Amino acid sequence: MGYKAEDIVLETHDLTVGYLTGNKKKTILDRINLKLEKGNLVCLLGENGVGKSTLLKTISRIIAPLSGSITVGGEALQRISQKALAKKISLVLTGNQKPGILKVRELVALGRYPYTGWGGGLSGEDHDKIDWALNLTHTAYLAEESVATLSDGQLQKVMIARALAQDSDIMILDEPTAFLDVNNRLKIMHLLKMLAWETKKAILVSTHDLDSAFHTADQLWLATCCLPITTGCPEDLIVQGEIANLFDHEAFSFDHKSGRFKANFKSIKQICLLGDDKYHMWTKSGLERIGYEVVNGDAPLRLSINRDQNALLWVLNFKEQRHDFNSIGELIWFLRTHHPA
Amino acid sequence: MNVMKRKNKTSIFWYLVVVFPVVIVALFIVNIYLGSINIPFMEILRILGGAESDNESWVNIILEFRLPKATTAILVGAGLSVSGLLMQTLFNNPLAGPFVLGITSGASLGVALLVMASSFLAGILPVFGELGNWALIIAGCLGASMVLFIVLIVSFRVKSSMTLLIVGLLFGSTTSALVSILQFFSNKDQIQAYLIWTFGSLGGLTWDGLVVFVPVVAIGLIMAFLLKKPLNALLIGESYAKSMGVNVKSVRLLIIITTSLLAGSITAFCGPIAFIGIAVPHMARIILNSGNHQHLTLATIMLGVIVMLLCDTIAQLPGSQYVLPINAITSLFGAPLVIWIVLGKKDVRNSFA
Repeated sequence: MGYKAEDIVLETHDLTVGYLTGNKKKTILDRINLKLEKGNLVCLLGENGVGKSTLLKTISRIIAPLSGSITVGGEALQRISQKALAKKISLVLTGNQKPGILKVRELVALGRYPYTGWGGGLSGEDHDKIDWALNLTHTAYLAEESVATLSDGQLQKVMIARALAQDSDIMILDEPTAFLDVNNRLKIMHLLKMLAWETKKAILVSTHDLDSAFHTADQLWLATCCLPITTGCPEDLIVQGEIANLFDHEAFSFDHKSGRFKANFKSIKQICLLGDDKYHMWTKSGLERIGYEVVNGDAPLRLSINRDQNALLWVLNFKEQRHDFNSIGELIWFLRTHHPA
Repeated sequence: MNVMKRKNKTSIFWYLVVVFPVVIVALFIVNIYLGSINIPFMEILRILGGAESDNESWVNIILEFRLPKATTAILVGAGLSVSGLLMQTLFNNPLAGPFVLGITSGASLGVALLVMASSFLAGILPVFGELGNWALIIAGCLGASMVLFIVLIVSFRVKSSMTLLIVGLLFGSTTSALVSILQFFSNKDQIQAYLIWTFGSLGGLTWDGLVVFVPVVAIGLIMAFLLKKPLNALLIGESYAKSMGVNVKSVRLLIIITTSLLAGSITAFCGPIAFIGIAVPHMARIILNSGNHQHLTLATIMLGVIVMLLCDTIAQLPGSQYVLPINAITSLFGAPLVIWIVLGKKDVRNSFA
């Protein structure tokens, strides 16, 4: 893969993850052979219930593997003491328990747990690490705020700062963006990418959010039910059609040319679209959403986008009839209700 | 921002080093000063200072009755409050208190068995008088230990603390039911003896009792201090705590043992005293405006002492012969106080979870 052996911070060997209830084993993912390299942001993608959380919990030793093994920095995971492991792997979870009236700084300071003595007193070095973590995550301005007053996005950044203060080689985040809006999702993912690159940590994130994963991840791990996990750089996986396989569904499919999802329609109607470049793309997008295929040649429906003084006009020609629309919305509503072709 | 930070830090320091200790000393002296027999204030200070006094009976009242009672109040206030704090943090639940594990119910069952079984074993088991006091304490201890033992076994088996909380509560209901059945088959003297025990009493302990009581509570308080670091980690949940290197199972075990030691011994010696354990940690959080156990543990202990001394002072109805049940006073005067603080200060949800 072009990575040197010393860059590998975590490796799994024929790992099987799942749950043990009584004497019954419930295997969720198996044949897992993965390598996590430092300085990389890795996104673990997969549908709900495919076992992303179970895999992350197993890697961070919250639950035990059913079989196989994990090595962290060359050492077997099961042999590492709890305190030593805390210095190697830090965790950020989804849906945080809000910790009473702690100040943000006190919450981040909890990350220094494995380094402090029995009383939890902070040394100068601990304070430096806390400041460093707050600054890197752009949360220093919140330091004296109470955690209870933070928004979800701010809280998640602070939890990332806490994990940073833990100063581990590996940071594992279980759907850190699940409850966030698009803006905050992108902010968090870019923050993680920056952290991976600047701090040389290996950052492993599970997410549903394909879009931000494509834009930020150095590597993707694709988990599919009953199949081994596929890994690779996002662009490679798109070109090889792996993404399309993963997200194959009867109602929609992944278009590897545009990197977007498209709805699948039983019958496709054709339409010819002429006109303004700037509006062409989104008009086309709207038409495809309702099951039209945009063609260049002959089609019974002809649509042109005219710039008339200041106003835009969408002109639809059909069997000698002409309809004018002032917006894409009106056009789409007409096509859906009148089915002219 | 920096000024605010310093201001909050100093105010916490101010409370812990000046305000709370001064209030404790003042209340302690007032508590000893007020009583059914009027002793001059200066005389009290002299006797407490170890000086001789002309009036033998005054020395006797202060050293043999009022001082042990005030000491008991301090131990009970400190122990119940801190065990309430431990339970609230362990279960991440603002309604948890020292009695959620069913320890008190166990003690009640022990006492109920002793008091009500004494009719079947008439004359063998002393229930009243000096010896009866010790019998009640031992019965309470045995009951509390029995429940502790069961809770420990359960805590080894269950993964989540929430399950433990539910088991503790159900265990409490079961023991209450057993007590009800015992009451049904008892005569009215026995029921009254049991009822008086449930009123709670700080005055029942002599120096002989305190020799046992002081070290037990002291051990519990020291353990609570040693636990402040993992308690802070538990504030953000058990998974995070584990990922930061906390051995959650052994910490949980230590918290349970500490709470049982404190709540169990206090209930055995003084009866079930309500309210303090749940309310004082909340008062401490609101006054310090912090949930950080680094100073919250000490603040809770000191505030518990203050509240208990205050309640005991009220309970002895200064100037009268009567001593009201301490259990009624803690709730009667404490509850409105806390409601006032909680409503006046801020949303309790923000101050806790």
